[in-house]
Amino acid sequence: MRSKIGRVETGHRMAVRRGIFALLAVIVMAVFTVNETLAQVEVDITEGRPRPTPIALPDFIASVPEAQQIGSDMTGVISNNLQRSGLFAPVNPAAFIERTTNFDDAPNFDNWRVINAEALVTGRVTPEPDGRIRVEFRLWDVFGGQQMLGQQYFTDPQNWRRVAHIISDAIYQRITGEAGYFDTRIVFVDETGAKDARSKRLAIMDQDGFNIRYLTDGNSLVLTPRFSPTNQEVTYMSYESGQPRVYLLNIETGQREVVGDFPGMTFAPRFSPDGQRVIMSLQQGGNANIYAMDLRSRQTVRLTNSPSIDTGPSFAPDGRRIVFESDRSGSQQIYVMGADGSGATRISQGEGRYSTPVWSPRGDLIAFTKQLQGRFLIGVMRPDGTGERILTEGFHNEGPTWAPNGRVLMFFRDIPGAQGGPQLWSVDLTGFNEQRVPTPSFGSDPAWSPLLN
Amino acid sequence: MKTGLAVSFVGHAALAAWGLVSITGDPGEFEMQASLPVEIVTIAEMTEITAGTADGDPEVEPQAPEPEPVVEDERVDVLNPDGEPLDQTEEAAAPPPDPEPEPEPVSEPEETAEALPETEPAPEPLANVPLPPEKPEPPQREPEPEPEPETEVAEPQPEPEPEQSQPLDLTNQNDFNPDRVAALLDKSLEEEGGAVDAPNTGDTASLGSSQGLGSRLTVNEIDALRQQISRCWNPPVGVQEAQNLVVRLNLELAPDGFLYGTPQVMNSSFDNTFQIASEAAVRAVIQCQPYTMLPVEKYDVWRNMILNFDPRQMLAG
Repeated sequence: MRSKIGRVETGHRMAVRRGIFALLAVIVMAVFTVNETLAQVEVDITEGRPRPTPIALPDFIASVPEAQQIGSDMTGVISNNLQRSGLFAPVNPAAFIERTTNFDDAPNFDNWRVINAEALVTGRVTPEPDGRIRVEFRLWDVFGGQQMLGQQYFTDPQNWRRVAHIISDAIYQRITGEAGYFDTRIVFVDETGAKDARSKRLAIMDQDGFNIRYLTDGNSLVLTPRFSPTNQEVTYMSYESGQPRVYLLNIETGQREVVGDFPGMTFAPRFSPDGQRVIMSLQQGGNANIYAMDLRSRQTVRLTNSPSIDTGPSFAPDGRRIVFESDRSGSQQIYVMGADGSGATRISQGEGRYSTPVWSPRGDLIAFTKQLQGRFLIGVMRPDGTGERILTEGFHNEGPTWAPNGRVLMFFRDIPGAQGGPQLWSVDLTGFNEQRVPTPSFGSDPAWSPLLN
Repeated sequence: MKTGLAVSFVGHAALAAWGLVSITGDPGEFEMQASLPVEIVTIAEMTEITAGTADGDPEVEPQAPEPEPVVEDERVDVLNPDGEPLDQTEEAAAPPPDPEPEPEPVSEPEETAEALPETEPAPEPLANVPLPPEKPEPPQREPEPEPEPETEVAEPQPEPEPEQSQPLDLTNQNDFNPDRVAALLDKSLEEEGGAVDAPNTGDTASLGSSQGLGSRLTVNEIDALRQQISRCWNPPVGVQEAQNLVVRLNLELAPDGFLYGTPQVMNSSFDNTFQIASEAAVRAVIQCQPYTMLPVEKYDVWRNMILNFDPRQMLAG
C-alpha cells in the first residue's frame, strides 16, 4: 500500500516536473517574445491627411536664351494641369529660395523643404542641331531626398505643349500611383449664336482647352460625339442628311461616313472597347431599340426588343456587358444587360429619372445624369446599382464622360437666362474640385479621348 | 493521470503564453489596457530606472550619417545619408555634377518601364502624332557622389545605419539571460501591469540602459506621436484605393526626437503602388520630425520604433 502510494507520488512528481519543464519552456519563449515586442515600440498609423501634394515647379531652364520661353511655357502648362487635377498644389514661385541653374546637379533639398514642397520638378530645354528640341525633366522627392523620375523627349518645337502634357502624366502617375489623363483631347459640340438659333459644330481640343480645331462647319445640327478607343475617329449624330443619323468621322483626314443603312433615325452612338463596333439606338415608330454594328463586316445585331425607348448604350470596359437607359418600367431608368442583349436588369433604384449612363474605363462605376425634383444631377453608382453617389447638381447638368483613368468626369452645365448657355465642367470622384473647362464659346456634349500615347 | 497532468500543464502553459504574446503583440491593446496603469502608478519608478539614460545618447549620435552629400545640414544628411548606397541603386539618372550638358541627361528608360508601364510617355507615344519623337536614352552612369539616392520601395536595403540598430539588438539579446528567466517570470507575475521587469538593467553596462520593459510609452505619448505622424501622412489616391497596402517602417530616433537616417521599409509587396505607398510613409515620418512628445527618460524605449501605415480604414466610403 505504501509503496503503491509512493509510486504514485513519484509518478505524480515526475509528471509535475515534466509539466514544470514544459511550462518553463513555454514561458521562456513567451518572455522572449514579450521582450522583443515590448522593447520595440510599434505604433499603427491608420489615419492620414490626404491633401494636394505641394509641388515646386521652377521654370525649365534653357541651354540657350531662345529656348527659355518654351521652358517657361512648358512649366506653366504642367503646373496648370497638376493644379487642376486637385491632387497637387503648386508652390508659389515667389517662395522659391533656390534658382535652378544647372539641371545636372542635384537640388539642395533643404531649400525646398523649407518652403514645404514635397516634390520638385526640374527641367531643361535644349535646341538640337536638327531643329528639334530636347526636353528633359527630373522629379525629386524633396523629403526623401531622391530622384523619383527622369526622362527626356525629342520633339518639334511646336509640340512643346504635348510634351508638357506627357510630362504632367508622368509626374501624376509617379506621385499618385494612378495613370494620368493630361495627354488627352476632348471632342465636344461648340455652340455659337443666339439662344434660339445656335450654330453647333463639332470641335476638338486638348484636355486643358488649348489647340481647338473645328471638325464640322456648323450648317447642320450635331450631337453626342464619342471617341473611338483605338483610332483617331469620332462617332456622332448629325442632321446632315435631314434625318438624324449616326456618322463616323476620321479626325486626321476629315473623312466622314454614315454608320449603317437604317430605315429610321439612329442616335446615341458609342464605340465598343475594342473600337470594332458601334452601338446605337434606332427609332422605329414610337420605340427605340439598341443595335450593334460591326464596322468591318457592317453586320448589325439587334440587342433589345421592347415597346419602349432604349437608348444611351455604353459598354463595360471588358466588352461583356452594356449599360443603357430605358423607360420600359414607365420612367427612364438604367439597365445592364449582356453584350448580346440578354438578361437586362434594372440597376437604378433611387427616386427620379436616370439617363446617359457611361461605364467607367476602370469598370467599377457607372456615371449617369439624374433628374430629381426639377434639378439635374451627375452621379455614379456601382454596376449592380449600389453605392449611388451624387457628385454635382444644379439647374442643368448632363452628359458625363470619363477621363481615361476613371477618376475625373467631364459634363456640361447649362446656365439659365437669355445670355446663358452650356459650359464644360469637370469634377473628380470625390465630388470636390469642380473645374470649368475653358472653351472659346458655349460647349456641350463633351467626350474624353483615351490617352493619346 | 500522469499524462493527464502533463497535458494539463502544457495546455495551460501554452494558453498563458499565447495570452502574453498576443496581448503584448497587439499594438491596439497596448494603448488601451496595459499602458494605462503604467502611466498612473509607476512614474516614480520609471524616473529612477531611467536615470542612466542620458549618457547613452552621445555615443549614438556620432553615428549619425556623415554629411557628405550635397546637403549641408546635418539633419538633412541624415535623411539621405547614403551617398554611396544610392549610387548602386538603380537610378542612373542622377545628375552628374555638371558634366557637359548633352548626352547624358539620363532618362529613364528603365524607370519608365517599370513605373509607368501603360503610359510610357516618352518614347512611343510621341510617335503617333507627328509630335515629339521619342526616346529616352539609356542612363548614363557616372559615378555620382552624392546625388539622389533613392531608396526604392521594396527592398529595404542595408543602410548605413546598421550600427545604430545594433546596439539595440545587443541589448535585446542581453535581455535573454536564460538563467534569469525564472526570476524575470516571477517579477512579471507579481507586479503585472505596472512596470514590468527590467531584465537586463544591470547587464548592459553601456548607456546605462534602463531599457526595461519597465518603461513604456503612455497612451498619451503614443497618441501624440500617432497624431503628429497622421498630420503629415498624405496617402496618394492610388494608395488609398489599393487594398491591403500596409507599409511597415523601422525608425531610429535620436534623443532629441529627430531621425537617424532614413526610415527603413521592412516589408514589400507585389502591388505596383507599394513603392508609392512606402515613399509617402517615409516622407511623412521625415517631414514630421522631431518627435518631441517622446520623453527623453524613455529614450531606450522609443529610440527604435516600428510604424505600420495602414490606409485601409481611411477608405470608409
